[in-house]
Amino acid sequence: MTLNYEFMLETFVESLKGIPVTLLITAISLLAALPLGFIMALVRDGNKHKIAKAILDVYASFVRGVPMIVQIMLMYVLFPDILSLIAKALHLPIDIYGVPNIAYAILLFVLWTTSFLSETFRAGLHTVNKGQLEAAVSNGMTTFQGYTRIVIPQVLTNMLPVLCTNTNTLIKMTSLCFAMSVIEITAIAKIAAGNNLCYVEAYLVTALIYIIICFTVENIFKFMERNVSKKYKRLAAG
Amino acid sequence: MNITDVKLSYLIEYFLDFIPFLSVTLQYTLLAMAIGIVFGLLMAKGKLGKNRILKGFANGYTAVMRAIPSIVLLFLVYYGLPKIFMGAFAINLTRINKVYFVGITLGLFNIAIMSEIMKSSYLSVDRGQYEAAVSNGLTSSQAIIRIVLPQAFRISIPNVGNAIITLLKEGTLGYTIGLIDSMGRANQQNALTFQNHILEIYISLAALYWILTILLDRGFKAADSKLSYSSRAKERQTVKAGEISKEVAA
Amino acid sequence: MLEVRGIQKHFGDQHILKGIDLSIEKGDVTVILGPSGSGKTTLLRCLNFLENADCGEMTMDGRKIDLGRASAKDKAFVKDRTAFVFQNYNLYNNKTALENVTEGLILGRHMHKDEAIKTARVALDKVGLSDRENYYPSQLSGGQQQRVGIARAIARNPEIILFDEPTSALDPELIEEVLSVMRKVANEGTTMVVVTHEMSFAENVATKVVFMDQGVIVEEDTPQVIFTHPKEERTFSFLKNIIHDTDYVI
Repeated sequence: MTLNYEFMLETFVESLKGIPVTLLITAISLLAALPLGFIMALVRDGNKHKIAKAILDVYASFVRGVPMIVQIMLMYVLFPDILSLIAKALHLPIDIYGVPNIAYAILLFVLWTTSFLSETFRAGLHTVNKGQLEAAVSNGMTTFQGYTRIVIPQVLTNMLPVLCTNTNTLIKMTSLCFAMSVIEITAIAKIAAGNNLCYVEAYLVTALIYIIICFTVENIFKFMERNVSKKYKRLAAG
Repeated sequence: MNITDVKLSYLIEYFLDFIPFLSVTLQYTLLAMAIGIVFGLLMAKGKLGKNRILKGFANGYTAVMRAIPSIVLLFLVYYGLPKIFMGAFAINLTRINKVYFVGITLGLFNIAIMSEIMKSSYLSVDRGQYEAAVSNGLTSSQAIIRIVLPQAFRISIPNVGNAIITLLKEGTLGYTIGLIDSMGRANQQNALTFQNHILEIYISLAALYWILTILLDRGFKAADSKLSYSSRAKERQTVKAGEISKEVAA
Repeated sequence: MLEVRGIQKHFGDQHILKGIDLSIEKGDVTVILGPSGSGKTTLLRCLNFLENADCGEMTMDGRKIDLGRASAKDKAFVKDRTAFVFQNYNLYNNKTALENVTEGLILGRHMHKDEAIKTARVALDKVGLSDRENYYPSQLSGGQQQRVGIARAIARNPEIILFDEPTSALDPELIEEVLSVMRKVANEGTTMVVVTHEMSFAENVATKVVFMDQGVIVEEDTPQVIFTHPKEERTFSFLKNIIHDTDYVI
């Protein structure tokens, strides 16, 4: 088996253009889903908002149970539909055909990641002793302060390794955006492969790029873990 | 079409139409599990063993598999495997059933997944179990086979359940190489109806998978609690009580 | 019956045992006392080959064993003649109380299953747990688990039973049931080596008390001598602290 190395090099350079799209979808999804997922975890774990809890449980079960590609296919039809219904009802002058595909992709991935991370946070909340929040509140903090100053920092610290895995899962998932005609890394390779009939070469390059991205993400998280543990050690020593 | 136009009769029709295609899902999931269990066991042995080369290979393989998207590996297997077989053994694979390509792709991921599950389950059995067994007169391999592994297997059930659910969901990507499983069937129906029933088709498909995973989840949870050692004991006692009551009746 | 000379053991660069000599006669109940980190548990584990000593010599039933180079046969010889009771019980989680006892008899002693069950029932009766034979460890209290652990040890009819802090993982109210079983076993003339912090057991049941500190045996004598006028300053201050503590407890 011989490989077309010239084509591989070209595809590599070409595919690099897809990285910002992949990272954009990933970054927005993560930034939105971190707070949303945490709130979702609190509601699902709590007993206060029964109806919201029931709805979110069903939603989480849907996200977990339905394959991502099916979710994409479904939402790709549903989102514009719902958007036009809303626009009609509110008499908003929105051209639904003018909404770029990447907007739908981002919306779907924000929703997906929120549910995905809520599972992680639920597990994370259990690792932090209940007494921590109680101590904070009895010590004069509001519940909100107790969460943001005491509980969340501990959850995030405990969760860093899992968050790393989740981030990589998310990055890999964005490869399915080709089904929404979003041109990211995989889609670029797909097009190049089809045009030149060099499938193996194209996907080897894609695999390599994902490996590089995921290893970079892992190292960033490892760096953060080291810094956090250093900080705690410094605090303990000081 | 619009969400307000969705007809229940079509939903049911498509839902029933997709069900038989789950047999394809079953095929690639089983193939992937078989590959994952056999090679995953070897990888887990490598990860737990002392041989540095084997360990490095097993860990490296797992790291790479964690980084590659399913769709990319599927394309690599689908286009690459026939090329390798043609070049190396002059065997033409292009006409074999596409379910094998999906099964092998999922299997390659599953090797990494299963080896991690096996490793962590093995390690989560307390060292004292092994020590007690060897000091109690069992040989090292008896201790592992009769005491440690059964407990590791029990511990692994929820994770194996999750792995199976992941596999059968990821397998839906098989439609991209032309496999007709329920997802492939949905696309076929879409083409046949000129996208006129697209919402009904995908809602039915989503419902099918949703129900399937809920049922599997329940099944694994039930298996998990049924196999827990304390519930087994309860069964034994009720059996015993039953026997006694029979004796009393006699 | 059992004699060891010059046992040494390192963990990394820590010198845990610095040359231990100990001899145990038939029917002895030897209690090993000492502060934590003194090497008591390591010594006990070396006697059962749960740890391999760096060097030293063991004589058991006329068989001389070089501990630095003990063969598999040597180890099997010693393990067959000794039994170990663990601090955290280490009952096989996947086996019932009865199976916990029979496992070593069937596999290690090649006893017929029916005979093993008979033997195991006698042992469980001795520790007062006949009615719990079908319970899994997770359904037993800590005290009951440890009694099964003792039944597992005595069923094999070993020449020596080694107890590694058998009560220190137990809640205070459960300690007595285990100690009373141990007293019963001792009164039957079983040779025992016990690492414990239970001073009453050492005072009333032991035939010999060994005080260890920092990897060496500081002194050994009858409990009467050790508890009333120990020769060494280290023994005296250790006992003073312990008895001081117990005063507060009472």
